[in-house]
Amino acid sequence: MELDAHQQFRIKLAPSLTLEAVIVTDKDSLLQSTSPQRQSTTLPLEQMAHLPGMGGEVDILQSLQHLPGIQPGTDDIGGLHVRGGNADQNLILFDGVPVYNPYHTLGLYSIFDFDMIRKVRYFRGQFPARFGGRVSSVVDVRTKQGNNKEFHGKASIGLIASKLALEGPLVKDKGAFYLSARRSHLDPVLKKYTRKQREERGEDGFLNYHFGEIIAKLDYRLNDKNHLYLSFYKGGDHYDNQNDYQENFDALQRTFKEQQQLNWGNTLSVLRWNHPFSNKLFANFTATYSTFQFQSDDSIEDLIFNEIAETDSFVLRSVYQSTIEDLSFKVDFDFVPNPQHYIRFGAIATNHRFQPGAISAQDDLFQDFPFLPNGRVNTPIIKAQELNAYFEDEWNLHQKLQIHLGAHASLFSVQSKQYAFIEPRLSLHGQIAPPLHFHLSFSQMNQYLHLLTRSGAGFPTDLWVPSTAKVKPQQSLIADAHLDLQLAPQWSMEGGVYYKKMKRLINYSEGANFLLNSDVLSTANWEDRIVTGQGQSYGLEALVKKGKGKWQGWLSYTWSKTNRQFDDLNNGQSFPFRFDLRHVLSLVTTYRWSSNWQGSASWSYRSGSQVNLALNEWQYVDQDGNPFFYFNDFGSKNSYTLPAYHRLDANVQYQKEKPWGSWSLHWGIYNAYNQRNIFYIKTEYNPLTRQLGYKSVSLIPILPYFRLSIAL
Amino acid sequence: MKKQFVYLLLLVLLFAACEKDIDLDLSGNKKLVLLSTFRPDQPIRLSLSTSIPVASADSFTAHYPEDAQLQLFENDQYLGDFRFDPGSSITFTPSYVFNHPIQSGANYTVKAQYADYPDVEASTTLLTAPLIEKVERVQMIEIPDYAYPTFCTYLAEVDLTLAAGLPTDSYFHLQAWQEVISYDVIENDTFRYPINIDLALFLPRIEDLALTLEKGNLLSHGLWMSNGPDLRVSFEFSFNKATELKGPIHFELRRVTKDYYLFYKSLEEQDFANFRQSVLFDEPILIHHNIEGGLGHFSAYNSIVKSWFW
Repeated sequence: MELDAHQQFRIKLAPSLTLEAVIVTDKDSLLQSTSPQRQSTTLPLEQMAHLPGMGGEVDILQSLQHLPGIQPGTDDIGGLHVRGGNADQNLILFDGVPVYNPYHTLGLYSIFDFDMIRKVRYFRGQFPARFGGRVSSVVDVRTKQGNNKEFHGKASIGLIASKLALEGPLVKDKGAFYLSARRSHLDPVLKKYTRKQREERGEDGFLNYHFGEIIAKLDYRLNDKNHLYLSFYKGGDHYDNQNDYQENFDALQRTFKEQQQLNWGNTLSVLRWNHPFSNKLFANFTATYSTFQFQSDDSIEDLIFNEIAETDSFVLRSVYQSTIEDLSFKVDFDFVPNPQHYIRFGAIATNHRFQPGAISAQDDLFQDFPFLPNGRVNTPIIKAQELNAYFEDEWNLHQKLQIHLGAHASLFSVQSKQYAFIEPRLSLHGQIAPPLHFHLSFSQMNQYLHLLTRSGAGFPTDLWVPSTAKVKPQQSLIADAHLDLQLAPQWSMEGGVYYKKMKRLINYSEGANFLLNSDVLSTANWEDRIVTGQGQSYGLEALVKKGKGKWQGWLSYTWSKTNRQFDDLNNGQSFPFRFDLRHVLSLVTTYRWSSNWQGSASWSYRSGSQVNLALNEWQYVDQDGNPFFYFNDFGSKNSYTLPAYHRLDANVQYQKEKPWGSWSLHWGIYNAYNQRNIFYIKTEYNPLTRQLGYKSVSLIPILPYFRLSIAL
Repeated sequence: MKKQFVYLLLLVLLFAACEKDIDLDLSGNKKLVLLSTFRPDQPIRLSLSTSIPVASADSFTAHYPEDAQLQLFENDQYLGDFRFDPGSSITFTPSYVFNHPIQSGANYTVKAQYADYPDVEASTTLLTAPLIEKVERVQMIEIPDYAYPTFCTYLAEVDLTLAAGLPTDSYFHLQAWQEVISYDVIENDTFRYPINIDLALFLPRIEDLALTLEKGNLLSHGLWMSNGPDLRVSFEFSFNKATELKGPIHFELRRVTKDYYLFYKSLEEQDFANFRQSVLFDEPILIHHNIEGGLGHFSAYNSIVKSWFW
């Protein structure tokens, strides 16, 4: 073989010797950082698979809360708040496709079944220029590809959900498929329990809920230089509430049926063509489709019969629907001109289509339903086009100094209005001494999409809306300085500070609301019901980890302060962010007793979140001097701090290798010492006394679980 | 709908969600409540009371102190102290009064001290009066009452034309009343009295706020001008041909401060939110107060009354 030019060889190895199994861990297997630069945190999936999870479901987005800088929502519901950001400011990518609602069950589980994940990278400050469109963080989830040599399968059953995955060659050594499905299976129990409850009340009906998803992946190698990948995801949640009863008045019989069905979910698909133009230039051409849809279908049938015939009836069916749909084309190039430079550049074109709300109603009595002329109202469809281009260079200035330079340009066109930004991205990574590295970064990010939410609880009814001629894009400026120190071969620590400024955040104006039964049409003029403001967050983050050996783990701590300021809220005064959690501490540990037995535990502590509680009441006197009702004084916005949150989860796993494959059993306890953390404060208002009362609701008590998995 | 989601959560989680009595520190700070809206042709009347902690057993027992010290300043010049007025025993709460002609463009500040409550202070500026150029009839329909032939109801639509010249950040409070002129055949005399009229505002976007705790409607300059200078209002009133003479309909347009607008808007919204279906997780409505150190509202307004003879 003459090595006089760049050549590419494909070498197939045949097994000839079988060695005893050995466990190989990398140098720093827990919370592996790309070294020496630490732009992202690559999550160690092998270790995370053993961490405790609610109902036995290890969840990648829930696991992120154990990292510095992340504040989860109340009782882990409602999404992630990264460095004081809103939940909509995280770019969650499924094989490169943005996902608008990455959760099932209001946030307890993500749409990413852990078994299908190949790699997860997480960025919270030092954003490479290739990412854009969100202002707080990026979670880049890549799913597995099928095995193009052998067929394999895995099935598991747990307390909450069951799942099945199959993979194998389409054409041996050239193409493969990967199929995965998951479905929750609490619904039969739930249906039976609620039916019984209603029967005891003399009614008929039930309440039901399930979630599920399917994933299909194909990949095919056309030749040495061309590889095609196709991914498809469809998942969603379904909620059904039926209530029927009959009653008699003298000779009249009344039959009442009420049903409410809620469906929401994502559909995602990706087609990617990978092509190396030379040994220095690689390209990916990708087409993606992403949609999120929410639909509510309500029907009421109220029939009254006498002995002869139907005498009176009322039938109403109303359907509410909101949709967001994206179609994108992108091209990404990787260019490595020499060992000193790794250059990436590319472009993305996206067509967005938003329909924040559409409602239709059918009524057998009224031709024109009172609040719905012609029985249907569609909020205007908003179409927007987004163009992005980026360039970044990982430049090794010196053996001990690396600089990442980049810029992300974006153009957003909506309603004859164009927004254009060039976002600089800069980070510097260097070695001070062999065990000590520093990292400095500055990023500017813009976001053209906003999530309108009053609850912060991650309801699918929260509306994704675009920037418009009236509503400007969000923007963040993030500065970050960190140090890494390798204390010993097994021990390392990192710590640093950040500052983040957020501009043009939106919020509902005081009193505005959507999706109340009486106010559903207000989605049509959502732009008039929002206010614009800014926010800032700064803090200190630290992580100590042991990444090698039988016993591994990490301790993360974040001290931060986050506030918001809106001219039209709280008298224009700055106020604490809802999730302004002063201290967030997380301790995660795993221990391997033998090749069969492994255990893990995690303990979380975080300061209480900020809420509004009325502590005073006062009497209103009208302009004529008449004493009127009593009103509530909530003080300054978000001025009440709830008690701190803490929780311990633990898990033990037994795994056995068999000639036909392997099986494993997980036992665990969620909230092991049954801490009654406050999920929310329920306000009870007595209209007779006009007095407020409070009750705190805790959501998840101690909850044991198991999961059985079989892999072939 | 959101309530359904919460219900879902509670059930899905193995029916394990639970409520418990709250164990929170609900001790609120004591605050003075100061309420006053005033205009040039009347004395400044001010209500002063104390707030009550929600956790207190003394709920609904607002105290109206009579020995508080309240001082009035005009453009930072001390004018004097308010005097206490115990008010009528039937309808009126006690108040403090200061008789002084107030002027457009001047800034008025009140400072109040009472017992060990934190001192409070509030300021307002009297804005220039708005001007309605004209009131024009669009249409009027007479609906006879067949049971009482002399009695009828009128449905009317008129355009109120706002004169130019006001800044775009102006806010208004619009009220209307019918001047009833009733003729008493026995005494051979007429009696005049007002009856308030509810107005419905027709705009490209109906975003006005009809007040329930007070009379009339709140609206912003931008909202009014979104339909040009003409604001179309509809209303109905009654008339008895046998016993009444035709009296005019009066429209009072107040030009109010932004604090006035936000205070009454948030007051109405909190009152409405308290009564509507409970929506879990919804943030409560915070009332806009402009009293430094306390609660309530202190605001001057200027107004114009335009009469329409039908």
